[in-house]
Amino acid sequence: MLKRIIVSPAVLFFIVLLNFLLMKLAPGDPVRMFVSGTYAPPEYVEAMRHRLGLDKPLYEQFLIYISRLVQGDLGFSFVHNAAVLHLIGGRLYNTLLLTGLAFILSLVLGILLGVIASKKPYSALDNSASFSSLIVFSMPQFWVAIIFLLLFALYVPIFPPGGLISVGKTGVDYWVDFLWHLILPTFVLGLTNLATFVRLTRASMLEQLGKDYILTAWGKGCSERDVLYKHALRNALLPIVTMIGLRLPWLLYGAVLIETVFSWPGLGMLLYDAIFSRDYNIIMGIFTIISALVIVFGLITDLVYTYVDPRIAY
Amino acid sequence: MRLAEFWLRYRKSRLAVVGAATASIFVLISIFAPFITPFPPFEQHLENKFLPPSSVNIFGTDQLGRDLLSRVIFGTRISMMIGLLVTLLSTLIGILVGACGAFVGGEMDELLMRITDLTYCLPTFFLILTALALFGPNLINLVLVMGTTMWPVTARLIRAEVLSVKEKDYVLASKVCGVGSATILFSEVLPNAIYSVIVASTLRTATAILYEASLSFLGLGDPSLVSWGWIIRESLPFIRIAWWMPIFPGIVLSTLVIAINLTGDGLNDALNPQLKER
Amino acid sequence: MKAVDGISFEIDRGSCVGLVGESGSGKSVTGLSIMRLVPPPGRIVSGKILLGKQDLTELSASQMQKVRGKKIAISFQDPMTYLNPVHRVGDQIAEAVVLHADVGKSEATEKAIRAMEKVRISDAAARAKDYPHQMSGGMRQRCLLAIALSCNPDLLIADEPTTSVDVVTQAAILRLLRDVKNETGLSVMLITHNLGIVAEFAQKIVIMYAGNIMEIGDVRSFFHRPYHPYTRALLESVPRLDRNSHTLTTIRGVICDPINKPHGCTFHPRCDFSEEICRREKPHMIEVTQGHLVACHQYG
Repeated sequence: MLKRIIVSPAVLFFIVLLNFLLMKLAPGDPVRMFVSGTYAPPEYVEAMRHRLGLDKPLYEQFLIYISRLVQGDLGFSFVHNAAVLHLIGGRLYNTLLLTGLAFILSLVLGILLGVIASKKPYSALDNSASFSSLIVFSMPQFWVAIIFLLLFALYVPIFPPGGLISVGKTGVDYWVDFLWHLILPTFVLGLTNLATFVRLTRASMLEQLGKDYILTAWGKGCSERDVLYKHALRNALLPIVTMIGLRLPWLLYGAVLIETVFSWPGLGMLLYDAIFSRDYNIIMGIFTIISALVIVFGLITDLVYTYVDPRIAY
Repeated sequence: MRLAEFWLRYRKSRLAVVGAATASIFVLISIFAPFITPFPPFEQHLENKFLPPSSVNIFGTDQLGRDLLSRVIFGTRISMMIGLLVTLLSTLIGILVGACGAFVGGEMDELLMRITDLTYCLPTFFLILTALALFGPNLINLVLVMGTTMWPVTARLIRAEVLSVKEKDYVLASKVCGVGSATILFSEVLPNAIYSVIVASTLRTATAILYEASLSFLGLGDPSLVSWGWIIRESLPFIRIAWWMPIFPGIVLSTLVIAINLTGDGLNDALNPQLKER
Repeated sequence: MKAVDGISFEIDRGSCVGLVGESGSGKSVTGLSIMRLVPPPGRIVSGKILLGKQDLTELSASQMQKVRGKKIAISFQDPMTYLNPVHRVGDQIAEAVVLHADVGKSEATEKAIRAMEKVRISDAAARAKDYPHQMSGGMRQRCLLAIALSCNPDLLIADEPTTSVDVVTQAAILRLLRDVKNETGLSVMLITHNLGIVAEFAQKIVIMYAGNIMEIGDVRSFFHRPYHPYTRALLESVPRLDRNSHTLTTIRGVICDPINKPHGCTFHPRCDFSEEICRREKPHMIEVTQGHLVACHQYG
């Protein structure tokens, strides 16, 4: 845990450095973004360059970059005519909500299904469950989203075909409408990530069920339910918690794709538009924010782990 | 392990065999693409746009009247190429880093481990995305960026293997006989380590193909190449009227990825001694 | 493959039977099968397990659960792996109590502490809050016994209770078991490979080899006059301080392959007295003297 606290700022620094280097190494002159299309006299270009600090030595530019970051300045978007941080901030909540709910869904269901699968390993039920989760896991998440959109929003219009809310609702209606829009993307994101947790839980449970203390539990007269949940799962959760932190980037990656299909106004849509309109500041800003999220989440996961495993003294 | 013995073990899982066969079919399709497409993939027939699947256009046509089946067949090339090249590059880098660190040891090992760990905890997809956006979404960049970010798993595997074998008696015996370090590395150590690396690489191919499709879907694909992700992206505005446009490429893509994953699982069961016998 | 084949013996109330054998003799499996806890894919193929008048093989799963811990309890060797690492020790004992008595959590914890005191863990109330990794090996073994004894079972199956602890703790555990036995009339089935503790503690001995019983007898007469060649060889192989021997006696050969057991008497390949009949026919248990049974063709 302590190691993680020390290492995390280093990782963050590395990512910031990476971002900066990518920016500098990329082809294309930043100044051209200002003067795109029109002819600009060389003195103007020079003045622009000086104003942007592009004539300073590299390490100085990096320091300026860091100082700006620390103050929350992630750059400016010329397409939207607003600060990148402001744009991201407005969308972050939507993405976090979607991702968070889907995460909880896939985690809870995944663990439950994994425990059930571990009861009779290699049985017909278990094998078919493994196989179907492999299939779902292999499908591109954006494609699964499209299928669900076609099936449940367009052909059989149970759910809305995208967006955050319908216009003109107030009060309770507003929240109901919001939920109605939220269901399908959350479900798709949760479904596509379910497989990982099922597999993980199953493997972890099987490992625990082969251990000696399970025999002691049976010997006491514990029921199957007690043995599975009170004893085995409790121990099996430990490696699962460790793995959770590593799953977040994958979930965010899925969120980005699914938001695009369902027009869910989060970071994903912002990214999609930014790619289309070549708004590099936004793209890099999103990368920085997401990296920071992943690091923070890793720290939280570590914290939860020390709480859950009594053998770790902290 | 002899080839015959390997095949015997691999054959035990029917699914794995089906997976490998399917993947091989895809390889063949990608090689012989120009010969098997019924129509040239870029040929437009605007009078034929949005035709549903028929005996002429088995997958239907898109918004420019192009035959979807032909485009999907050509898309196979992109995915296979990406998959293979990325896997090759990342595995190579991984082996080099892992073997180097474990063999040389000391500070070099420390440094390489740090770099491996750092690369491992980067959000890979977003890094690739950002890099591609900045450097331009062409095939070479794609392969380079993916290859240089997806190696840590292999590096760790190799390093662990080399470390465990380094102190073993037969290695020390070879050293005593005067066999050079590099020779030891290649003839003794690597053959044992290679199994888990093969499995990891196979599964990475699937991930690389999915990543490429996702990037193309978001708009970071090479427009001059016909990638499945790009096809699906193009179909987005039209899914209401032409459901076949996103569905068929997706089915084909999913089939390939499933096949690769099944093959990877089969390799794992065949190559790594497991307690699967129950 | 039969881990245990055709064994039969009785345990009298308030007495201790020592089940002795080498590793692989099937003694642990015997203990587990009495509890119907044989790990799959193993299972009980045929036979009866009589607890008083009740045949345990006829009980349903949930009925058997009520018997486990309450009527028959089991404790194991190597307590580190047999205790749940993420539950407090006191809770693990209290769990057994709650399963079989209609009590609340606090009362169960009280009983758990008392059980710990019964197995002579000092400062039990504080120790109950510990986790297994915070305790020493001897204390963990006592905790396992506490779990087993917490519901006052009729029979305790103790599988190698002293094997993984030091000699001092070994003696202490045996003393404590004897005291509990005398106080409560507990019957004990002591599974071990150590003839010494059996001699000290048990009233009856059952010798097992390769899944079969070789000899059953009262402890005193047993050591005085063992009948079976295997038993004799076992006793002879124990190093003695009062004899001046330069070499250690062993039993020739190796323990047989459990999958490919020898035909006839399972011990015959290693037996110095084996004859033609030993290779052909499996010997039945024969009563040679009062209460003393042997499975050997020499006496039949």
